[in-house]
Amino acid sequence: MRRLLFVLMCWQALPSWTSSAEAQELAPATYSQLRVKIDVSSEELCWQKVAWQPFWDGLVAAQQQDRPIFYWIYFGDPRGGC
Amino acid sequence: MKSRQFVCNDSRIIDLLDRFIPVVDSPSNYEGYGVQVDRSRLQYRLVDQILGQTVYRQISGAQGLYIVTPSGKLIAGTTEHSNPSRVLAEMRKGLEAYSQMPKSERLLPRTPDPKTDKIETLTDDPKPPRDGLVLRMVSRGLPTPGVSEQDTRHESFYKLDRVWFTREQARSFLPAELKSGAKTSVRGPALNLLVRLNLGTFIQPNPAWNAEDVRSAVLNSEVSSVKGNIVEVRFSGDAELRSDNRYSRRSYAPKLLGNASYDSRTKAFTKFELLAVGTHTVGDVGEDARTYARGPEAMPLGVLLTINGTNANDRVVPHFHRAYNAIARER
Repeated sequence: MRRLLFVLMCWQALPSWTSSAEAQELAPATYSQLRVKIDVSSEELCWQKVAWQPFWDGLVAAQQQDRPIFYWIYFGDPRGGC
Repeated sequence: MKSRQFVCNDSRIIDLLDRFIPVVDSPSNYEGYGVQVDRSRLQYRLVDQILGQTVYRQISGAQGLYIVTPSGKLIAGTTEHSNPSRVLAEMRKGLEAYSQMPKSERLLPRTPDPKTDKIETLTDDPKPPRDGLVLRMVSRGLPTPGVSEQDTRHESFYKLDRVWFTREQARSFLPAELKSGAKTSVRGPALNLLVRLNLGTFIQPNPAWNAEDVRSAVLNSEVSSVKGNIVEVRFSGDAELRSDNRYSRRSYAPKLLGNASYDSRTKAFTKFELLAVGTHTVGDVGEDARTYARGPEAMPLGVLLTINGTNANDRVVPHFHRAYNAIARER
């Protein structure tokens, strides 16, 4: 009985699983939806409101303006997403 | 997953940054495989001095968000890139320390001179090809059960890069004859750069594909309409990429779809979109074995390429830029 119940539950779950997998298959019909899922949102790019400068330019500006440097260093480049 | 831009997306941090000079950098500009810089130059000596004061005690491998003086003194900072409160506290601490410091200590004794003090860096000095095509690449895992939020394949984490094509390479995305119904199969450097360096490569530790890893790569381009000097094209194709060596056993098999608008008068793309979606698998050798032991081996991954933006931060050099010349020369 338990086995039958399990099979029935799986059977019921199958359509939603299949439609979810189909929704992630690239085709003209799914293009727009997938594009939105993959692209970066404006919320994710708030950090771009700041004009980040390379070290050299920042050093020259900081020296001229007598301001501290906020130094964001990451392997690759912090402006990428590694 | 909180991407490394997470902290800098916080509005409190963005507001407080008005009181600083915001700088980005990478240790790979100064040290690493094939990097040769003049270590006697002021820029190198300052970076070496700054990172020598961090927990890393050296340039190699150093990461974080630090408050430093133009003279190279580290006055605050943290490696906690996912903790805005901690970063805010360090910023305030840095401002306080800066204001207490005599001018002679916080500033350099002279204005830095680019001729004698600057060094060329990989992340800022190369410039995109003149009149070429510059695309923005976004790579992101699609929602998949069992992928932890700590895994960079989680859908909350994105990878961002740029792709540079010369004018000639960009033209190869189009059929020779720009008339409705004309077709071509994109080949050569443009396809190689696109596939080897951008499709499914941005999964930690971000290995590019070797030539032998490209089992197949097809990108078809068809002119769908021509109105005046505007040529509309559609892209379709697929790729099978699979590495099988002692460092990497990965695969990515995306389908490709997209479209573009090309101005035949200015000989430039005014729109370019290419979407790649397919299953990505991580292997069990090299860093994969350590990094992804807890997550699923295979999951859907998407890559979106569009015309680059005009924000100051969009002027980023492609991550694999040093490989461009060699790949472009391959047949």
